[in-house]
Amino acid sequence: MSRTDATVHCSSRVADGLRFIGRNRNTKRPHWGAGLSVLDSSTARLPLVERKALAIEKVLTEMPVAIRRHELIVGVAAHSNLLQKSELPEYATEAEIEQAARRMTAPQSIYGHCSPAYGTFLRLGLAGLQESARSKRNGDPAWYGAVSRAVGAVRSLAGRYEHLARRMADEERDEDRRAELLEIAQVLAHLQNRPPATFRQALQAVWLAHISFTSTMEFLPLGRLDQYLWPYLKADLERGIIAPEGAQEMVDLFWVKCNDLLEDVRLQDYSPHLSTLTTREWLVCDIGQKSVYLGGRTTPDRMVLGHGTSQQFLQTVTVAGLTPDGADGTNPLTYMCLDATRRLGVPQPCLYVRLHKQSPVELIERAADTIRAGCVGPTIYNDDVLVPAFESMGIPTEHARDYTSDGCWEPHIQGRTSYKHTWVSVAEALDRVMDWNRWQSVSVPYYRADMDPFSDCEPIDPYGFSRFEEVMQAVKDTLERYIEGFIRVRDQFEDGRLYEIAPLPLLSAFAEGPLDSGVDVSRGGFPYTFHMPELSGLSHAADSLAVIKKLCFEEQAVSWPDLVRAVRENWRDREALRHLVRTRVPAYGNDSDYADEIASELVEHYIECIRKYGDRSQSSIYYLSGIATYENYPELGHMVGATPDGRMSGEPLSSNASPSIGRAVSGQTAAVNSYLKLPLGKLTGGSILDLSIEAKSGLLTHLESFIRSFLQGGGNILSISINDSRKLRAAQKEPEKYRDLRVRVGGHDAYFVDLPPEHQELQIRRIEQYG
Amino acid sequence: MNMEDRLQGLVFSVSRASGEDGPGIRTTVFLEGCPLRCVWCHSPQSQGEAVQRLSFYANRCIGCHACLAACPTRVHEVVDGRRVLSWEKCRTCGACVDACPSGALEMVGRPMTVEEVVDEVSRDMLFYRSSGGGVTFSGGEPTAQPEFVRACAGRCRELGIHTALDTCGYAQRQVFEELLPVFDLVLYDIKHMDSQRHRQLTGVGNDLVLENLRYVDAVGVPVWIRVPLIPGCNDGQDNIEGLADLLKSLRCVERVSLLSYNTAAGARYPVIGKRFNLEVPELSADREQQIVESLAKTGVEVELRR
Repeated sequence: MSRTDATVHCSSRVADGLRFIGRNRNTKRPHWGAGLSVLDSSTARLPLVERKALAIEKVLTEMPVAIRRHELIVGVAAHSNLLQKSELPEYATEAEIEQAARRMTAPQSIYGHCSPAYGTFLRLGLAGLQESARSKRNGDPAWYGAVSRAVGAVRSLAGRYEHLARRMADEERDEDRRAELLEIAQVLAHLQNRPPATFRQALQAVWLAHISFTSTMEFLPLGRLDQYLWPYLKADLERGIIAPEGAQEMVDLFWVKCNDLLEDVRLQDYSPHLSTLTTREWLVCDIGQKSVYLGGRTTPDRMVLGHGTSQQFLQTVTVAGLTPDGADGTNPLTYMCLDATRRLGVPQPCLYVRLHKQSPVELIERAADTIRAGCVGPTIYNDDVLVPAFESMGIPTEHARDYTSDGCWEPHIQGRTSYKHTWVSVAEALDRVMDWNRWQSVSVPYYRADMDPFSDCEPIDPYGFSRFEEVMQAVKDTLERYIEGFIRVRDQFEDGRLYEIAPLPLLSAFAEGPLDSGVDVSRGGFPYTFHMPELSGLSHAADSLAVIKKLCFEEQAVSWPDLVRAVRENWRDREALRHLVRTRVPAYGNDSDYADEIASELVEHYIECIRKYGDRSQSSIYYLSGIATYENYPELGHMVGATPDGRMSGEPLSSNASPSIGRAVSGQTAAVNSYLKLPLGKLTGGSILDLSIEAKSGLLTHLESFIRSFLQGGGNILSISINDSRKLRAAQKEPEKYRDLRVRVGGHDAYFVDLPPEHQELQIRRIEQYG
Repeated sequence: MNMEDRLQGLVFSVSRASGEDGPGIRTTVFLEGCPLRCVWCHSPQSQGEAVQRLSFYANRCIGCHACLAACPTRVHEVVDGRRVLSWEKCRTCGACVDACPSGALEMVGRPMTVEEVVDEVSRDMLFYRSSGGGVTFSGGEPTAQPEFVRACAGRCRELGIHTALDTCGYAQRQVFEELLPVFDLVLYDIKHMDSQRHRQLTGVGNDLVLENLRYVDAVGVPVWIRVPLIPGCNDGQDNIEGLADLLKSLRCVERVSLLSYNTAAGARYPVIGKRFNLEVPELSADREQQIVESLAKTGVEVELRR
């Protein structure tokens, strides 16, 4: 739906907001916050956590404030971007930074990806939260002081906005707007000293907290918004202080707000900025944003591929699903959230809907309507598979039922989870088996020498294999090395080293547990620490092994050494062979048991490895298993050489648990069936299937049934994009005409024209393959 | 496995996740062979007898010339650097298809047993159950392979799968007598109400078609009438009025689907060495609406599929 259509269905105030977002997105804005510092002679001797709190305070008390004419919910985050250097004021000394770097951490080592405990926050309010930090003394007083200061900074921000609203009211000539500005000021005055009492106050409170995090480099999801806000709306509706239309407008305005930070990607000049980063900064970027990848390093071009789409800021909202006591949580606010997404035509927030056996029929219909109208959301979660998967790890049922999106698509327990992830690529494992030496000569060292899991490995010689089983075993062994190596390194990071350089006093106040225990969330203050070494490259490994098994060892139509050579030479002068492997062997995603069984065997092995090396008795971390790439599939493919499925060296991998792009040629039902054969119930972290459906497809009429089949078949997470490939092609040529066109990019929604060209091409190919 | 399961037919494609050929999410089995030659036909590869045919997708060809060496009858040649196929020489032995690494050469018409068809169809049971969908036998013309279709549909029905027959109606009465007991729904094409015009457009008159439709109606199987709406061919008001009169005389018609002209209809012709000659003017939205209204007056549900 285009924005112009949408304006018909929303209030004029919301329409103004949408127009503002359109203009704002097209305006190059200065990045605020560079070059600030809280270090001086008086602060130098304070503990680092207190200096971090001072840095947070400096941002929230000095960053620009603005109220736009259409707004009722106010607050603008300091503009920052995942690709920018830290905009936190300097708070650590050179010596501290040097010392941290030796342990592979930095002030920028902030992970985001965890939902705050907004329900608890709303009950206590800012003052209550601060009081709680002041009154409890179970640990380091300096830490409690820092937490109190950080929360106080959010109160100050509320005060700044109250002040601004009053000043603007004084100058406002329009009577109605003046009254609104005074109302805004009243809401903010209330929030500084008391917990929110109304729906509007609660929404404003959440937004203030959210922008406080975003402005201090902490990118967080919004969690189960319809659950924690419904009690406020319900009471307001019962007391008659808000009408349903008024509530919908508030939700709409909140949705518009979530798009504040969008910026036309063509205005962002990434490369020069990236090239100024030193190796050390790359290293910490990698840790900070993408968690620890065996100390892995990245290169600027990989980084652009991966983050060229990062306009999402992890702002997800999860609605409906089971409540902690096992009832269905669907409520009128659930539908308002779906309606906002359906009508407004904006990519943020990224919406997830939780479904289960007892979900109302209407909910599935409205979710399907939203997908049909909005092209990209909501993404479907299946409670009936995901809740038992959490329970199987020993998570108590009431917590398991309270899962929500972490900001990408991974489910985690709301307000209680430190969530981190990395990738273990089975395509990379296969690549190592095919071409061991190439990996030794990669120009940028892929691993720190002391963390390379293959440093003590004998080189693999594929020419020596005479049976398919030997190839399979070598791939499995290599994958196992990755997982073992990763977990070994990962465990080291739970020794408190993050707290020493990047403590999180603000987030600690918004989590269940830390205020009582006195333990910062950066050193285990959350009840759960989840870490998912995510399997990527599954379809390519499965398709490749199917080729090897069938063509080389069963039919002997292709000689195995010949295939190895062709792959090592990136199919140079071997077009005929490359086509043969792509056309003669069915690929994962076509409901062919041949390839699907290989895929399942790989996933079973992966799960076994996670269980073996991530044994809970040995570690405080819950190691989760899942199949994932998010939007990083071009980046993940960048390092992987040619694969026997006909993929060229450096080509993107398939997204998440989806079939290889261009290979699912048997219809969407076949793609779902292939996916359902994987041991999904054992994947504790989930696995998402990304499907595209052509806008004209008759299948869209039956989307509700399609979703229901997916749920009944035991699928755990499903994203559906509806698009017209011809329209996407046209948008490539004339981006100006198609600025509203949205697509799903692995883990989130994005404007198509804002994507890097490589991503655009993949989007089109993914639709076209279904014919 | 009984004899029937081993029965073979010629299928040109099995299309899953279809939402167009009947209720719910369906699998459509397209069969080779068709007695009609509709001038707008978009699957010319199925016209005529149910036999295999070679097809060549020039865009997939990588120029390796493996087919030249493989072909025993010299169908494939390179003349002045251009790839040329002498279609008339082809004995459909398939040697070139086996040799082609890129899938540029394909044999249209895959021999499949009843068991193979039923196995593929039944894989989407999960989707049929939730959507009220099932299997549709289409073509080409499924009545051109009646025994095979009867066996496939019968087996699907035993498995609880909803069955639909998508037919042009041009077959002996006896064929319908045999097929109707295994079908839950018939999608019945009406191309033109005037027999002479019908002959010009499809190669055959419509008498048998209308007679069979009355028979299907008398038997009482639910019918969805399908009309490929081809501007300049069958969109005149006389024809539409005639169609409306026909609808009024029938009792089992549940719906009329008007199928818009497929602008990509010509795409498959060069692939099998044929030419496509039809030029189709645009149908105005007003005229479309008029047609829908004329038919809707009969009280039957009318849908327009673009």
